[in-house]
Amino acid sequence: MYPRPIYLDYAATTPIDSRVVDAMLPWLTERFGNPASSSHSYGWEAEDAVENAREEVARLIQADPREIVWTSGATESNNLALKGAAQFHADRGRHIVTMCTEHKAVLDTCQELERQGFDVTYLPVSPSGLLDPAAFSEALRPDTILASVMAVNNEIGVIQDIPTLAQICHERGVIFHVDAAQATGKMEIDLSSWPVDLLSMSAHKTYGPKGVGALYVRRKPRVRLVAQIHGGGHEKGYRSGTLATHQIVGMGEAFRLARLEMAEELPRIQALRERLWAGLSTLDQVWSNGDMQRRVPHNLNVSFAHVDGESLLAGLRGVAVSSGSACTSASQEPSYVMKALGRSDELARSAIRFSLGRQTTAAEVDAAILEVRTLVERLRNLSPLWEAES
Amino acid sequence: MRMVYSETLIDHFERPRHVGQLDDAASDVGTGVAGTRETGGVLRLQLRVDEAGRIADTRFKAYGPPALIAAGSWLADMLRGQDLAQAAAIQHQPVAAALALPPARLHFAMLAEDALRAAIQDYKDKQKVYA
Repeated sequence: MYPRPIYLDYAATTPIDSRVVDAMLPWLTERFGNPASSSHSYGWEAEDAVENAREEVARLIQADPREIVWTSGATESNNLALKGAAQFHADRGRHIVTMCTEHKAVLDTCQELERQGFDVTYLPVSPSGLLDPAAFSEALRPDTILASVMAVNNEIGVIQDIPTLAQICHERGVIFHVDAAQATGKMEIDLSSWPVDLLSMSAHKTYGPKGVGALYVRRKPRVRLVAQIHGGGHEKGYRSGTLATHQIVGMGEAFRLARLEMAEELPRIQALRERLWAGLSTLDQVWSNGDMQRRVPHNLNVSFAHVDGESLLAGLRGVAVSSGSACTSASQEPSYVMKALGRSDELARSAIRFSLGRQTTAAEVDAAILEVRTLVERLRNLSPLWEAES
Repeated sequence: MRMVYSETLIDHFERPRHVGQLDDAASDVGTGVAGTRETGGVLRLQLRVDEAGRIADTRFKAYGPPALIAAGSWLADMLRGQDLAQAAAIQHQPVAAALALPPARLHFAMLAEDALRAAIQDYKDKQKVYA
């Protein structure tokens, strides 16, 4: 067994809420039917459960349940949205606009689209991580068919101005996709008033199970996609494959709980985040990364000058955190998101993402502060550069 | 990628030996610095050499990943009691082997070797001046 450090990596994944597990279990045992089995009650009850979950996902984002397509997670949703829309509309134009701090699930998919002959513009962000809507508007061309901007950045937690960007696209006839993997349950999402066309979601970032997600596909006006997975025509032909009833039920319950509990949960987590920053920012030469106002409450990203990032992560034995995004942890290359903010290599490499969640307590935050402070001071005392400066 | 550290490396990283500074200006002290902040690692190694030409005292300081901190600590520890000629023959391989550095961290052992060479050279230069 490995030791169990304090978990402050909720942006990587969350534990499944025990109430969600309870909701899922019957669908793994006695209620095992295939929701596509239309000739008997095993199938009917599974179909009802899937449709109930669809309604819950739709309600969290203020959409119509008929606009929800089940997928295996946000990565698949991003692939379906971007490839599906680009390929369907390729005869109208070949230009796509996105942002250089997007998740790899969007950036790598855009690169694949470049290989397929599309032309992609990757917009820079401000030093606080925000995309300027005016710059976004200017980047749209007559042949632009699709734009993709994440709601919440996975590393620095900043919230982009999605309603404004969506409106710009709406006026210009550009399909607008939003990766909302880090946003559900952490901020208000109102697709009844935001003209967003496609929106990717994941269950496991919001206390649901891994391996399930959804793509919102607007009905009015209808957004057309080329399916990426074929075989049976499930999900109105958008995404074939037997539905994973237990996973879908879990996502529905997780999103229902998020909707009901957000108003109470977010201020509590924000207070803990402020406590964490208050405890860390009294150290000399620490910098928070990303705008501190336009930000989800659970994320704090901090760079520690005069401390190497790998030593910081290796020394933090009692706290589970990430440096940059989880996929690039422990690589020597500084995170591309930190570089996009204009951080030096040293500050980029020493960036630590703390992400708090439903189970985080004040005592855990205090213990994390003490451990980080002790380690940063120890490493600085080891550094010949720190001594020269102080 | 998951970093796997050897027990010896972790031990030297968490409980580094001989951290600190010797008097730079002293004629019997050699100081060597290698690496840059921009490339992710700086090591300063200092040796005090006694009249018999033996390393009587060492100190190090390091900014960098666990591999470099451990390399500085390990080297500062093993150099004590060695004579200067022996020390001059030490290359990066025993450092890398003792800490079981993976290929991606090998250059930090080379940085340690560079700091050692520079420290010995600094001591020798001082001896010429004072001789």
